[in-house]
Amino acid sequence: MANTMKSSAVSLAGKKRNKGKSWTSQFVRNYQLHLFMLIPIAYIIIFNYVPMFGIQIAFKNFSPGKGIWGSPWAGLVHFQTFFKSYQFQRVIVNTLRISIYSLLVNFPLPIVLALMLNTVRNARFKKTVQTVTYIPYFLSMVVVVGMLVQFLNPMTGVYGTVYRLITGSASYPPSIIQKPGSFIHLYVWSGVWQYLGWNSIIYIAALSGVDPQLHEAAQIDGASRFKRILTVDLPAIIPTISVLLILNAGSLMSVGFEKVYLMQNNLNLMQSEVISTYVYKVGLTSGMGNFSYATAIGLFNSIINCILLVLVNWLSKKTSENSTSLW
Amino acid sequence: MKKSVLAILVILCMVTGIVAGCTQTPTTTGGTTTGGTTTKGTTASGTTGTTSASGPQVTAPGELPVTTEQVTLTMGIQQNVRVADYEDNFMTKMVLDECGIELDFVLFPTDQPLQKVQLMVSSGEVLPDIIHFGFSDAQRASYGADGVVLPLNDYMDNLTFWYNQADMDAEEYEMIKILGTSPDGNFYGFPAYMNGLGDVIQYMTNINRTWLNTLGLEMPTTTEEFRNVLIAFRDQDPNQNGQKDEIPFMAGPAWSGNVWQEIINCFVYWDPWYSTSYFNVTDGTLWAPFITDEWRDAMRYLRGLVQDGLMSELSFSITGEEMRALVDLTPEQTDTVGVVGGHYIVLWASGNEHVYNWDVLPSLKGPAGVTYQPTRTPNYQFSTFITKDNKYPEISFRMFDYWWEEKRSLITRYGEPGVHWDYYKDDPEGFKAKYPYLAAGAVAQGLDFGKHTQIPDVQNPWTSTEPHKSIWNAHFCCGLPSRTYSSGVSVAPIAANWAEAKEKGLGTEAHRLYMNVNYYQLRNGLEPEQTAKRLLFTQEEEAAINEMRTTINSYIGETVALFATGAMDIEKDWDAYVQTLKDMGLDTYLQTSQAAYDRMYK
Repeated sequence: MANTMKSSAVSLAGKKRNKGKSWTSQFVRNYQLHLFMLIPIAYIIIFNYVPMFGIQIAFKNFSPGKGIWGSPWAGLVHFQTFFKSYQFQRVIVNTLRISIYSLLVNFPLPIVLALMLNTVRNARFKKTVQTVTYIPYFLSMVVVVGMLVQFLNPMTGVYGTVYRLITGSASYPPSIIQKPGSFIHLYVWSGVWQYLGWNSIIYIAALSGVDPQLHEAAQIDGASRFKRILTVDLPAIIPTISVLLILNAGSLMSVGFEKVYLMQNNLNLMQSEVISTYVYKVGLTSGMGNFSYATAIGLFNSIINCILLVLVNWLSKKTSENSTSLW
Repeated sequence: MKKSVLAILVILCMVTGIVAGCTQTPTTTGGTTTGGTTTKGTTASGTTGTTSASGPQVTAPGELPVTTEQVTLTMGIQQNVRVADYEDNFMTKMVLDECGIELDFVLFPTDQPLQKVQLMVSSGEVLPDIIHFGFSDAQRASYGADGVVLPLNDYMDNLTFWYNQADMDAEEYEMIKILGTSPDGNFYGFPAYMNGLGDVIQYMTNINRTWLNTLGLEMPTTTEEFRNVLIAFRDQDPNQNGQKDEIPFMAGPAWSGNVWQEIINCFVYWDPWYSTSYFNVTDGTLWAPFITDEWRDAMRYLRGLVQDGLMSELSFSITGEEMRALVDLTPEQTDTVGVVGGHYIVLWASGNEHVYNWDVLPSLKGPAGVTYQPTRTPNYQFSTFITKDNKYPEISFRMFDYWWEEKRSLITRYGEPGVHWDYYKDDPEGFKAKYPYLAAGAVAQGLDFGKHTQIPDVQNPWTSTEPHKSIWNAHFCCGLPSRTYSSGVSVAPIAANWAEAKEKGLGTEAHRLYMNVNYYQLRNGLEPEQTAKRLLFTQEEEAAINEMRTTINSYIGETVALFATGAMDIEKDWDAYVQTLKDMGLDTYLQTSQAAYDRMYK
């Protein structure tokens, strides 16, 4: 609150000062600042805008020998191949299912954790929990999946050993990792374990900015601890939540490649084949590498993501009172 | 991951592509794009015409050095971590001394070398004179058609010498010609050929011989007997620890180990080794084994094994490391697995005495009395190229040919003669006296004596754990047919059977060798007359079937697992399965493959 007031004051002062001066003299006056901006602008142009020309290979039959510009145009052939592909429906449905489930679970839990940690009074306990929960974030995905597979191995893993210990039988339990239906749960909940702590950091930061006076006032009014979470803490981080939700919606069509690919096996393929793994298999590993096809699917994916982002942003603007949105 | 890979690729392609846009016109109009006939004209006249003016000349085939004046050539090669230095290297110096060629190396990164090569090509950079890289057949054809690498047709006909002297049969030469000729009729990659008899057998299935003996069972020879043995393994406590902890049968993806693929071969021939073709061929007509009734019977059999707890359902998802954990046990642990697929190299650590328990499972006869054993085709590679920027194509080619000389070929694989290995022809009498045991193996191949052998207790640079300066660790243009390559190891059985091996009290290493050799003895020669393993497609064909082939191949692997574990019902879902394959484009895929097959073999 205090911050926003301060910043608006600054901008007001700025407006007054700049009145009557031309744009150019202003530019010259602040040239140091503009020079600073040059670096990020160059970065964005070189690494984000220039590569966009490469998108054209989605509409070409790319051949490395001829290069991007020299390859012959192919029109929308690659998009048609994808839409007609037998795998189209499967990969879209799987991608959306994994992504939405993941969002529903992974999005609210860090908020809950952050609110809970914020209420804890013992600073040392709070710090310990925070550290313990975010450390898995730094593990490599290969290691995480390797651990998962090893723990759940019915013969040599912890799961098999514990199962045999409890039931007292010598035979091995059924394999969890093989069940097609269990893939999505393993994927999402191992993700919770890995990212919960890390994702909650931003909310903890936002919560630390809540004015203590508000809490005091609520306490005087007789609000309970839980009431204070609902009426003071939660509203304070609503803007953060909605911005993150918008950003998350923008990547709804992209499920990370690495983890899915590592967790795939022939038995769960019907649930685990997603857009990114399909692109990898068809576009990059088979035959001579079908880059145009891979790019076409990637482009299709990005367009859907972009539409979703704009849509959710628009919704958020419409529905929230202080119109939280990205732009 | 996908995003980032794509992004990096696109970024790099773009950044360099802009440069390429300006310089491209001259590079792609080389005239080599049009195919065999035009190139023949240009290169033939080039040999006598342009280069005769001045500068280094190529010498006659079979003559050394290969050039009249020393030349410097650049060579692009994938960096191998085992090689400490490419320039200060035994092989490099040998080329300088004998061929008169000084080689400068352009090293492609060990990790993702293909990207580096593709970027060099698409950015229009000046390419190394020679590229040694294992492109796929389709990539080779594409680079050839785009004029990036030169066709070698004329040189193959006129400039070869040592290539023609290799100890191999006319059929092998013919095969090199068939597989090396791209669909446009041109020969782009200079061949390297390796045929090691130890690598021929595609599937190795090990059976626990101690268990068989404990239960007084015979070695199974049919699928029915195999099933009975597994039942006994399941029920009769063969490891005698009083617990029902046995896993009768574990298949899986270890090298040479997908036993469920082998089981299918007891019903119908199917070789999934080359992903470019899953088809069989009879009288020149391709057909799909995976929609036949035999395949369906194979699925029923597999389902029966899984259903009755004979075959672990983990067989379809287990990783190689997990399989190893099950059998590569410490001396105190008892075996819990009865039958396991895989090569001894990957399943048991060197020196582990558990390997004594294991024996070779022969190929099983199916209910129809047939059995097939897909073999790994000899390794034909076409991975050495003369690029469009090479000023001395003839001289380069003469150097390729030079590597086909027998001793030079062995050097590319085994290192420095006299240091890492001994060559028979260098000192026949001394060699015979030093390595008397080589005779048996060599005679079995129709030779008087082994042609070479590694010197015992010296690290082979190919697999060395320490970086060396001996060879390039690449299959560089070598000609190693089986009589050359495999004459350095014994291919005659050390022991006729497991009991004899045990009686002789051979060391673990010898027991492992016994298994390897017996696989070859028991399983070689069980392939149909005709196979369609490696098909070469035109670029149009490749573009048309790429997507459906990937989808179909993946779907087959998936449905075998689903049928076997019961997630799909063989009786009810079979028609839907066949229909799905058709929907995925099986007919088009089959027709296109037939066209490719006809082009290659008719």
